[in-house]
Amino acid sequence: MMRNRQIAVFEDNDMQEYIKNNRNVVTPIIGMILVILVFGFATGWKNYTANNLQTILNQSYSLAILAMGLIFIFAHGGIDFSCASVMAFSGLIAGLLMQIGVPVVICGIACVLVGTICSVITGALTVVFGVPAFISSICMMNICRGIVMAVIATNAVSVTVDVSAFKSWPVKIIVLIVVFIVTTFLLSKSLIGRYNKAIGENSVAAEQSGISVKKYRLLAYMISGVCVGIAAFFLLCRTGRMATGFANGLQLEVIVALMLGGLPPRGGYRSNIVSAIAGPLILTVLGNGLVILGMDDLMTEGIKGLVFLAVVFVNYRGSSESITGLFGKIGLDSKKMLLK
Amino acid sequence: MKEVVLKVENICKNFGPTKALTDVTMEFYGGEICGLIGENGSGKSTLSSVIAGIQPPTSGVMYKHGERYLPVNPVDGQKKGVAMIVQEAGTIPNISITDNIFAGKEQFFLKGPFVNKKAMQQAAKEALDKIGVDRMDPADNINVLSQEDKKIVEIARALDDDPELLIVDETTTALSVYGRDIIYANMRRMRDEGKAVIIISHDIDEIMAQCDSVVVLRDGVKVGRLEKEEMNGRAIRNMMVGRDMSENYYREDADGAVSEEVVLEASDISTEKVLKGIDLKLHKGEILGIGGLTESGMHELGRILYGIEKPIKGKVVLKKRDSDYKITNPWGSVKHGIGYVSKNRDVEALLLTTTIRNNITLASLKKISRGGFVSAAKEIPMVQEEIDRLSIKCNSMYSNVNSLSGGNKQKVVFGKWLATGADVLILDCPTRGVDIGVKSAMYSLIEELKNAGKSIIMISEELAELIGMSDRILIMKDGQFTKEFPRNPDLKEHDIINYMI
Repeated sequence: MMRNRQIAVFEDNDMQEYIKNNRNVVTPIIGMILVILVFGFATGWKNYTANNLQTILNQSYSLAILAMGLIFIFAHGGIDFSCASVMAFSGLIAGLLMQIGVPVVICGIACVLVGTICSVITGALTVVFGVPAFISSICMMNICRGIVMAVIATNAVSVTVDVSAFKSWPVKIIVLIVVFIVTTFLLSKSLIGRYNKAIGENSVAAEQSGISVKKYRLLAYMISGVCVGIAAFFLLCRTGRMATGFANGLQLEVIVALMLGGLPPRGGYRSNIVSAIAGPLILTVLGNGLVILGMDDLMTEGIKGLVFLAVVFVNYRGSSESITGLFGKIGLDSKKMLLK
Repeated sequence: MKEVVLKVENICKNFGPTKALTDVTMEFYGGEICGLIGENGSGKSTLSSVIAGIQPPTSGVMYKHGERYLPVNPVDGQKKGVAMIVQEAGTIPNISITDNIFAGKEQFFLKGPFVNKKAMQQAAKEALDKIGVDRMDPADNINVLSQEDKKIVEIARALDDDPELLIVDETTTALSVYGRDIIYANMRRMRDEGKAVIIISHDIDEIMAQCDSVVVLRDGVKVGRLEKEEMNGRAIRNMMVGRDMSENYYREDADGAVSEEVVLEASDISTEKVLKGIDLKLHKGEILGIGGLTESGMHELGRILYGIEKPIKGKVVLKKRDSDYKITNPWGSVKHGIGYVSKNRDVEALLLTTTIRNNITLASLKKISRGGFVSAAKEIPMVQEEIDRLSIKCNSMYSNVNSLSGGNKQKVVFGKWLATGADVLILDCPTRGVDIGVKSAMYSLIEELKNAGKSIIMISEELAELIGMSDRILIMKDGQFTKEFPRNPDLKEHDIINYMI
């Protein structure tokens, strides 16, 4: 009997509790399906023509890859505003390498490396030197963007070699699936994922349980950096040239997407890669659908904001700590104590 | 006939399938201190939080002075005259004591559009005077205060409104004699003013000393009410547990002999603040008790032995069969088979908002992983084994830890370290905030561990448990050991106290 119990028992009460714990995974999926259907109906399915579908996928592609990496930083309770600028910087390096005739694959690898290094530097500022995550990442954001602007001002950087392989959907989809599978396993099964989630729950308890908190937080930045590099390379191949505004704005959009995807603002064990898929899709289908419906751009932003607010409240209703977690991230920790 | 201040009628509270309270009906009288006692999970904290407005009851009604009383939140409860002092820290960091006492009440101190700091400070001083505290300056930043003084600030805050009903929820366990006396004095003052006081505690002696009556809860049901003259320790204990409990639940043997083999050795440990050249040897299979006052430095010593804090002088060495290992950080300690149970369970030992499973395996993940990936096939049996061994009362291993009672939370912490198979355990106040049922289970567990050859350091403020469990007791005062007692179950507490103060 005892033996039997030891083989993965999943009884009814386990199921109940499991569902309760993973509510924040199920709702975004339902939300995603709803948004897809609602905008399909509203536009008479015009938004899912081959052409427009490609636009939607292209827009959510960078977001999804970024989000899958960023989730590790969020899981331990951090935040990163630098990812879009780091994307631009690593894209710039890749572009420059292409121009001097380095093989495309090597350029791609360099792009990923540069992204990783920048992200780890941001991480080190926070983890080793104790600069709050949002400040160190804003610094990195400005530094990278500054370099990109300075370089582009004097030489135009564009893709001069054949990158059609990296523009083709089969390759992009395969890369997306690989990143999805790898990050899913890392987040849910690996020590890196488990430890970062534990740190997000309670970093003191994590440290006292023998987790080398600094090391694992840095590793989260590393994973995020790899994803930033991948996203940068594919975006560079798609756009064909470097511009000052390369990837600009994604740093905020990716955070909004993750929240829409049900990621707890404080991180912790409820962090799930599903957020990094559902969130970007919801965000792009919504924005794209509104445009097709004839809404002007300014209104679209406003409506996105309202939807964001609504989702955050529906998702985190009843768990005030999650909402205040969002405040906590930008340094209003005392707010929480007051509410208490 | 005494006046009924608050009456609760047929209160039920369910958390999903769990019934925390079932048809509880009772009255609280003015001019009376009523104790609320029960094991962990008996529903006493749930009841008090319903009364204070922290959560609504599933069904049932409450009357205050005969009128319907249904607070929507704690602030509303406070407005209606019900104040509660809770166990966990509830002060706002980084601001002054004054601002803490009057947080949310600044509008009463307006001078034009600005807050009149002077008037507020004066009022803060009066609020502190009122509860009989003169050892702090209200202008100081709250961060300079000790945990205990912060609690006192909370008391000043709660009592400033002149509540009609005061609930003291297991606050005193975390306080020294000074803080306790302040709370007790204020409870008595309120009683003498004709107000009602409810004190929640595990500690039967405390309840008997302080209360005019006591209500016992068990499994969410009111078992009975005893008046002052009917109270005795045995009767209350039996009502709490529901069966006859023997008075003695410590180790029964008087044999303090241990092996010569030293497993953990600290030499000349000093810190800036308290510790002055501490030497200590822990033998294999020994339960070494360390006693003293909270500020004696014994808690710091525990943290240093485990590697959370670094001493400015001296070192801690783990003696392994083949080589020695110098302790410098927690992950090294865990890797080499040391476990540490913090005295601040909820803050430092548990991941409250996640599952029992994630908590129990937290310190063992490395052990059950290969190539950096955790094996679920090893993890689940590991969790189940600890749940069975410690008989953790839970719905499922996927239940959140904060749905558990205090005692079961502590069992989860123990489970975490048992799962690692640690050979040396440093337990800092292992039975704090834990009821007698769980306590006695803990004691037999500690004894089992000793018999299995594990070495244990037990740091505790409860002399009775040190005497009952230790092979050797070291008493600490002002950062130094003042006395060593060999095992002797007949040792009396007052023999020891002299060396502590």
